[in-house]
Amino acid sequence: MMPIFEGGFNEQFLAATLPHLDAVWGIARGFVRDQSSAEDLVQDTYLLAYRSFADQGSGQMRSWLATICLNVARSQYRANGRRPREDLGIEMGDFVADHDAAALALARVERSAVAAALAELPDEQREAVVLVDIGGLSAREVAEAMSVPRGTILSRVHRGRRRLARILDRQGLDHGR
Amino acid sequence: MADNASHPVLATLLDGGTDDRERAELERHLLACDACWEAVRDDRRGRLAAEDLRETAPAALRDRVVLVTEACGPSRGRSRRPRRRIAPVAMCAGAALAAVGALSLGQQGGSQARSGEKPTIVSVVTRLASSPTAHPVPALLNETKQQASMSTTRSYGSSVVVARSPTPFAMPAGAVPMTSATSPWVARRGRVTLVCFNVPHPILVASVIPPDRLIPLARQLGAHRP
Repeated sequence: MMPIFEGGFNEQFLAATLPHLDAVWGIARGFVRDQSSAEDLVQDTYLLAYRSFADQGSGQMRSWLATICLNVARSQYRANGRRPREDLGIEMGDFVADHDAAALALARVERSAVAAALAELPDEQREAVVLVDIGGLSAREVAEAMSVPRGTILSRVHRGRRRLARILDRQGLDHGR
Repeated sequence: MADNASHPVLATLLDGGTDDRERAELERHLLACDACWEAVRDDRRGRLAAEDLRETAPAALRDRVVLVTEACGPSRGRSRRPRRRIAPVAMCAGAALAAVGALSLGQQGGSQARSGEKPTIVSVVTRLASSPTAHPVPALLNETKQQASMSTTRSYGSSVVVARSPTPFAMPAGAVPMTSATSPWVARRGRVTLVCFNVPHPILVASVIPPDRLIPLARQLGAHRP
């Protein structure tokens, strides 16, 4: 349940940034290999955002948070090596008793394969795909975040998507076919 | 793998802003060009696969972000900028890192949450914001090198940090003593309630659970030697 914020700096910060938590979480999961590390990445992102919030104002929150997450991931987590995600982070408590267990298990396997394939992309392509397709940013927002031309981002996204599709083809997975 | 991203057709597609005329031209070209057809198909498949990785952030992560913000920032209601951020390493997940971070915070001589705050309180609140672990982890909680172990459990749907020590936990500023004989106390830090019983075994618990539930829980936990 979303807390009710009002009043001081903390509340203003949370009211402006928490609505984008899902996007930041998706981006973090696209960059680091396991749920625990992704949670740390999100926390570090929000801490750094908190520090700069007074200067940021209220505009472009999602792309701003995504940029911070990207930079933190690059500096802190790339040093650990890029590896496929090792878990899907779905706790037992999330299991719904009446859910189709077989379908759920299949979905988990497919998502794990996609995550592993994503980790095989070159860094530039992976970052572009994560920010656009998982984070939901526009090519223009990503171009500004990365300080590269918009056309370059479009090219990286396209190449990344195609390579991702080819990798999944080799594994026999038919996303969107 | 051939790169068709520079082809005018794909440039139009990726740009996302096609009018009826452009769309008709695109469709005519795709029917005639296998390479571009394949490129568009793979682009779509890759996009759908990546979009399938979108997921809702765990509820516990949302709570963690809120708790960390409240633990590190100025008090609610005061609209002033934070003085300094806590180094990210102090907030890293994992029991060992949480303990190291707690020690680091303690050695800084005060928390970012409140000037003069006892490091023990900052440590416990910080630990509450970290990834939970059920296994007690040794930690040095303040500059007096108070020996303690911290673990995390769950009750009433929320995380509860449990700190145990062979020596009593000192009462922080703003705490409300529950009795005068055994020196248990209750304190609040933002949404976090801290409850301490030093008899029969020193125990400090912290959670967002309401005090009327946390106090009996702390009493039960403290009645048993770990």
